[in-house]
Amino acid sequence: MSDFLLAMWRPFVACMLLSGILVYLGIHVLSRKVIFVDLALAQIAGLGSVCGVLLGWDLHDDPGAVKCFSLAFTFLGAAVFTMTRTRDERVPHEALIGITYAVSLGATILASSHLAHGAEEVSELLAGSILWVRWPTIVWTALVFLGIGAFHWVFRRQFFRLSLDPEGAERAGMSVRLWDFLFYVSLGCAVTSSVSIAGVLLVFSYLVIPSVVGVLFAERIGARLAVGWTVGTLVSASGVSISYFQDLPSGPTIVVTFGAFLLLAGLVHYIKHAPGAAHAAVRIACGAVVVAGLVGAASFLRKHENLELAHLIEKGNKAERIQALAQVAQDPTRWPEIEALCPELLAKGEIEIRLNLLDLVGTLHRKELLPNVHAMLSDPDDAVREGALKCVRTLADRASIEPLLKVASTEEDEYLRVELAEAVIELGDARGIPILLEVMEKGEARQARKDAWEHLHAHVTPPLEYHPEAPADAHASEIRALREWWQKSQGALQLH
Amino acid sequence: MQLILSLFLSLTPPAPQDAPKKLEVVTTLGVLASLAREVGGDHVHAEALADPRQDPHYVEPKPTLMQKARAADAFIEVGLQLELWGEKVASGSGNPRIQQGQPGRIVASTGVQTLELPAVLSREWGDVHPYGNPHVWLDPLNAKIMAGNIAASFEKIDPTNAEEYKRNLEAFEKHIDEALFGKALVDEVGGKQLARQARQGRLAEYLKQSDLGAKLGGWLKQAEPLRGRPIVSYHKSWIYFAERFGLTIPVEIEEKPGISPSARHRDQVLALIRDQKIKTILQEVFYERSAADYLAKETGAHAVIVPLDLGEQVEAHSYFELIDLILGKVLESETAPTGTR
Repeated sequence: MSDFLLAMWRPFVACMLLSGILVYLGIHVLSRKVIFVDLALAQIAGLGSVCGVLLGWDLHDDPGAVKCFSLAFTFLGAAVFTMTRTRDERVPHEALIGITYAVSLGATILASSHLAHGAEEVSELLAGSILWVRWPTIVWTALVFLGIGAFHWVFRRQFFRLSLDPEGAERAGMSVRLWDFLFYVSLGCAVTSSVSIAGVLLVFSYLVIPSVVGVLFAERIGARLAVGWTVGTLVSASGVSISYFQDLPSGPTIVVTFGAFLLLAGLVHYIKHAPGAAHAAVRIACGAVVVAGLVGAASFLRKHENLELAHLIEKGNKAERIQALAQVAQDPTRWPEIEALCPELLAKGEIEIRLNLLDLVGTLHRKELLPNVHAMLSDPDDAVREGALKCVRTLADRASIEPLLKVASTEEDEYLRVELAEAVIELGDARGIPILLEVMEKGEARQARKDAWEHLHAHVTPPLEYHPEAPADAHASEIRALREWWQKSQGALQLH
Repeated sequence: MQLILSLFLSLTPPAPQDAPKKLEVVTTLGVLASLAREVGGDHVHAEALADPRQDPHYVEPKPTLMQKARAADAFIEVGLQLELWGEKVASGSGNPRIQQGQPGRIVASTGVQTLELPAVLSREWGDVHPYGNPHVWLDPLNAKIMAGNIAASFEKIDPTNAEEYKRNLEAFEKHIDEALFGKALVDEVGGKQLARQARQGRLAEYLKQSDLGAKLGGWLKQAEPLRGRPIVSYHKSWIYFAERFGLTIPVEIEEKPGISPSARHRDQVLALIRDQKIKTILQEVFYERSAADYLAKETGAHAVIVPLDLGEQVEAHSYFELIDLILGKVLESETAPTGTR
């Protein structure tokens, strides 16, 4: 529990702050029928920040300057919305708000295509993550909200009059434009500071959903506010808890919780106001059964997966092929399922597949694939050649001797040639020794000459010396002596 | 490298007045353009479409991108579904030379062994790249394979200069080997064998067995203080880099690509940074910084913000400078006391 508190304390406080100011402003927004004005204002503020960044200010180094730009643009937006609110409703205000949103979003994208981290800046402005909120931001936001709240408290009469009864206010001689402008400025400030910590999605939900519930259940402003704040608090608390205990991203969880809450409130409202409460309840129950039925039916819509190994190997992607091979490695009795596909897979599969299959052929001792593995000893890919050699050594079949010798005569990589010779000797054939001698004579890397000498020494014990660190021409005599010794004694020597 | 280059320059006669047209190469990432220049030398003009400061996964196709793609003789991409926009640009350009299956369409990651292939037999790995993690170029050994693919394609498109592409490739491979392992060790053992041991994760053991540890130089020598050190990264871009230089990445900030982390994940990352005394939070330049900054301020670890790609717009202009830059910044963070940067 204390883990929970420690983890979610800050996001919860931030949510409560949002709830405090946005639920109140939401009541205004709802009665003015300008539901999407917050999105438009947030977007205009975002455009302001991007313009600030374009003019050379840095989002991280000069946050104050960038903030000023976004504030100035918010004022501009407030002015636009004030001017466009006309009594002539031929063009609805909502349409102009939508247009403002679209145009400023387009402008933001255009402007940010000239920025270094354009996409990042824009998404950072609008996404926000309530999870990463720190105390200084919370305190700062609280101060801003307090300011806005105090302003609205002082002029509450004017603001409500304008929102609820604009014609009446105008008749009474109020300066509609001025108060409209002040309203949009304060809304803009609240929205932009909320968006930067919580993101557009969450801010929109806090602004609109609690006030909608308030309108459903109460008539008077005070009562609507009370309902709205209660809903905001309940949803914040439950959303934050669900997000923590179900391990889900916080913002979207809270938004969906809001949705569920609204649905519930709607149903309650429906039952309360329906002519026959019992009849309404039955209808709702029927609806619930239908929904449950649809959810149940969805399980039949799940895509059917063909998990047969042969199918996965033939039709699957690389990951699925590798997984299919891993299944066989775990359960060797399933080998027959893939057996027929192996020759082609060894010859043409992706590198990882070929390597995995080589391992499998080795561990399961599938000697019938030996010719295919031999062919891979001269593959152009280094890793495949190594894998094939490893597989040959695990299978340890004398039929491999001739292919190994043949490959050793053409192999360019001297370390691999040493390994090839070693494999030949392991199979009990002394013809690997001259290959080692050759590497000792002509090997380019000192380490390769040394390796060859050590391998030679591990199998036979020549009574002679060899110094791999000496340059190639210097140890020519040593090599000659070793060759002569080998010519004379090879018949009599036992390979260890 | 320099020696070979100057030797080579002294051998070729000065270019005649009507010098043949250069091969026009367009690449998705700056790092590919750098490899193309290494391999192509004077015969190639290579240009990248993406800005190294932006996310390589998402590039907005602009008219100029199409134009460049139209004029290209070759189009190089990493592949492995890294640049999903690449196919849009190539097919949208209508340029027949760079369509899929043409020699002018080069998938640089071919033959690179990818990490992080999904480990469970089910479709639930929806968010994971089905061909493994695509950020392969941050391992210098993979850069050699990628340069090899590019060289092979150049040889096909422009056979008259094939010999030179081969030579340039060899020089580049040697340069990478020497930059990674140090010249002394490469001279002693050979780059191929070292690369083989390194790939199998046995290099340290091999050097110890063969008593060659003192000869190690280059990036791997520089990275010795990093070996076994845990770091945190934002996106899963760094696993190849970490694998090569011995770092471990026990956790990413981003729980799933593109989805903001949950609270529990955030706190797991926090706890992990504290428990394992992690000093470095490695993040690509193009992701938003709030998470890294939050973690850095809470724990005193350093948020190290570096580019993933190279180009004129960042401090790295060649492949070698890119690795130098990333390695340098990580080393600086790991050797500084926490809470000081």
